[in-house]
Amino acid sequence: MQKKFYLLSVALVLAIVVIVMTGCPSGKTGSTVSGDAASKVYVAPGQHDELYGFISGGFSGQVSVIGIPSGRLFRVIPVFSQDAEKGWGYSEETKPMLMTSHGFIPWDDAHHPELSETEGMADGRWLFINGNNTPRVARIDLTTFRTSEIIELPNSGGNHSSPFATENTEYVVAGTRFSVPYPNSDVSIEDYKAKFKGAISFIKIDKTTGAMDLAFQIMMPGFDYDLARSGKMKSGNWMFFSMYNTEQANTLLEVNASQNDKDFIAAINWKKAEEYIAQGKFKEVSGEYYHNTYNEGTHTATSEVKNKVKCLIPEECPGLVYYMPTPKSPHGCDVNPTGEYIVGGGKLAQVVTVFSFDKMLKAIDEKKFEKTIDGIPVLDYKSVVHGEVEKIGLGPLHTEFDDNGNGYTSMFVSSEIVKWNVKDLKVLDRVPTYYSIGHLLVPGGNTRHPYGKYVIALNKITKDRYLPTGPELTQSAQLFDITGDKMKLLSDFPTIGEPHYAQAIAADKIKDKSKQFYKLEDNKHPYKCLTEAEARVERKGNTVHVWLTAIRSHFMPDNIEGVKIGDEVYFHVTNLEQDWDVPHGFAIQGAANSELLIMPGETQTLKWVPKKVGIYPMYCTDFCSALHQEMQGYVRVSPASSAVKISWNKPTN
Amino acid sequence: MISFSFKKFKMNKYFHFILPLLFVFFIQSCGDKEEFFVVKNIQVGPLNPEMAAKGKVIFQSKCASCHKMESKYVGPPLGMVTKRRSADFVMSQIIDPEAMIKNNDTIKALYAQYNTPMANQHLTQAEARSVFEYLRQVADNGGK
Repeated sequence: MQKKFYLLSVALVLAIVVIVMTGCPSGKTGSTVSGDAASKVYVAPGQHDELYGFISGGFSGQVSVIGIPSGRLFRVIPVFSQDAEKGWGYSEETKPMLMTSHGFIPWDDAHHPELSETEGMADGRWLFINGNNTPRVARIDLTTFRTSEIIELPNSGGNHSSPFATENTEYVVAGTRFSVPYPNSDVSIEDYKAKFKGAISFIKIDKTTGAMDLAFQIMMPGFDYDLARSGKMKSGNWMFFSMYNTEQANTLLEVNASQNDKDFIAAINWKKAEEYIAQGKFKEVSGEYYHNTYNEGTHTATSEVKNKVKCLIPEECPGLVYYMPTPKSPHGCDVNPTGEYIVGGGKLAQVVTVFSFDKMLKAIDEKKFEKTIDGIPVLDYKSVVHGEVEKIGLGPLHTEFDDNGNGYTSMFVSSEIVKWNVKDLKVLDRVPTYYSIGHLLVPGGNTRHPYGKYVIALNKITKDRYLPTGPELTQSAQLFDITGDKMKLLSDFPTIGEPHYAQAIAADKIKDKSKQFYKLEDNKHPYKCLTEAEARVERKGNTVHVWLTAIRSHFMPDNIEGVKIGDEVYFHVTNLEQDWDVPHGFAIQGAANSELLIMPGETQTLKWVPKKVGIYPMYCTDFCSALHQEMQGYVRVSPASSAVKISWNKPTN
Repeated sequence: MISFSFKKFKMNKYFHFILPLLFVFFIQSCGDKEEFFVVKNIQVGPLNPEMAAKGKVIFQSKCASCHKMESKYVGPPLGMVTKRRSADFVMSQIIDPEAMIKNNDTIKALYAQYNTPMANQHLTQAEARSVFEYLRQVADNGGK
């Protein structure tokens, strides 16, 4: 009996195995992962990831911070957006961060995060990111993981080829995607060819503080400037920019900007630019732009309005810019770790073009020019090209590198990553991505020494990869292991917004520098309230200021009377905690903005304009202790004609 | 990863080790437990008014939101605390209240009474010492 049972069991198991094997969905090759994939992305509870990843949130205007390899989301940093969760862009202190020459612009399209570098390696100090729509560049401080600074770009029509950094973060750049009149003015769109120009801005970065300053612009022909990359080591004084629409079309670009077989990658010698600026060979051009800085001492942002920019004109600055003809409407423009090869992802071509920096210098030296455009020499293609990677795939967009001489190029149309050898241009491997990969990321793949363990696909479309969520689906990234000859898919994970591009860095370079709280003694906020004894309410005409303190788990004062209809009330809340991970929130009924989320030692201000008579509860919104639920208070709002005087409860000794 | 399974543990084989070990633990727990402190043997000399002045500034900003001198507030009144508690006790509680609430029986009892664990305000040992000096000064002046 037992033997029979045993045989039956074996037969059943075999049957299940056969059913499972043959029943595998044959069309779903994308589900195929190798057996040890899970262990390679598993980060045990309480353990830390190996790398920080910073992924652009695209049209959310934000940046997400994730762990690699787990793909776990740690934080969403609001940059060019209001974020109700954090009070960012809602608190009085942060509103100036979103000011531009067009007024308060609480949204942008964030594309390319860029880590600051020292000697060609990511140093973990700052992260820059561009806003494409109302052209801006932001700097995020990686001790606080908050946006510290935003600078607007004048005379630019869409900041896309940005904010790529030079090897010691001397500059981050910003090339306009949409050319516009320079300086911008009221002209007919039909005058595009005659009057539209493409501004490429160089933003100087202060070595110590990271502070940005618009150093100069180069007034380039009216093309569409797409992406950029700094040279490395021997090519470190050069910045390379890809561009399309050299046809200078101003309508139906889909067709009209895809006529020329070759567009260009521009090589700009920024050291030469510095010389011309020092020699005074610039023009001052008008252009209003805002420069917003968040001060960690006052916990407040301020805006400075500037009106002029130094402009270099290539025709008057020989040796500043050269064009390398590049097939066809190139997107990526990437420099390998040695600085010798510049790779153009020929979006509409079926080849990837690799230029040699040495050849470029030689061609410049020997004046091998095909022609000049607006005084810019166009280098002879054959004299500068190292070679073309043929039959690489459809829609090559963007290339990053490992530390073994290989390039990894994303193929938007054929939805794959192709690995190829940079020197001999041979294709080595290809893997499908799901679906429509845009950029990709090899951690450190844009530096002198790529980390080179992973490549991450940043996909535009997910379709059937996740549980459906209505018409709008999640965006997605895919992690591949590149330690072997063949790339191996490890995991898919969702991202916020559109993951245009990403950066990654070893966790050790950042985690120990992370700020834990703001010291109360360093708080220089004009409305700080550092002791409960100073907590108070003051009326100045129709404005009421409340100096409010918060500590686990009460506000002082928490009973306020004498507010009247018609008043504007400012709650200046100081969090008196001095411990990590103890923010307090503050909300009051009817507030037309958001909550405040106040970090320990910080002061933040909520503006409140009550519209109706009555009693208004206020409370702490961020769970702070077992008595968080008790952290509440009341404000009495009386009619405009009321005689109720301002009063509040005070602690006694 | 190290895993441990009781099934693999052969009781009779290890029994002669375990019994004496249990005995030792038992004997230890019978003795008078030394009170848990984070800092120990803090020496207190004659009152140092300069240090007390520094301590007052710190106290007002980082402590006074929960402690008054004469009356209960969020936490106990501290006007005479230096008369009833040692410098080791007060400073330990300031420097690492999380460790104290887990390990110090007096603090556990106070928590039962006040319901609010004390916040760690990250004072340095020198700052905690200044606060203690300020509290001594307050006590010398009658606890007000």
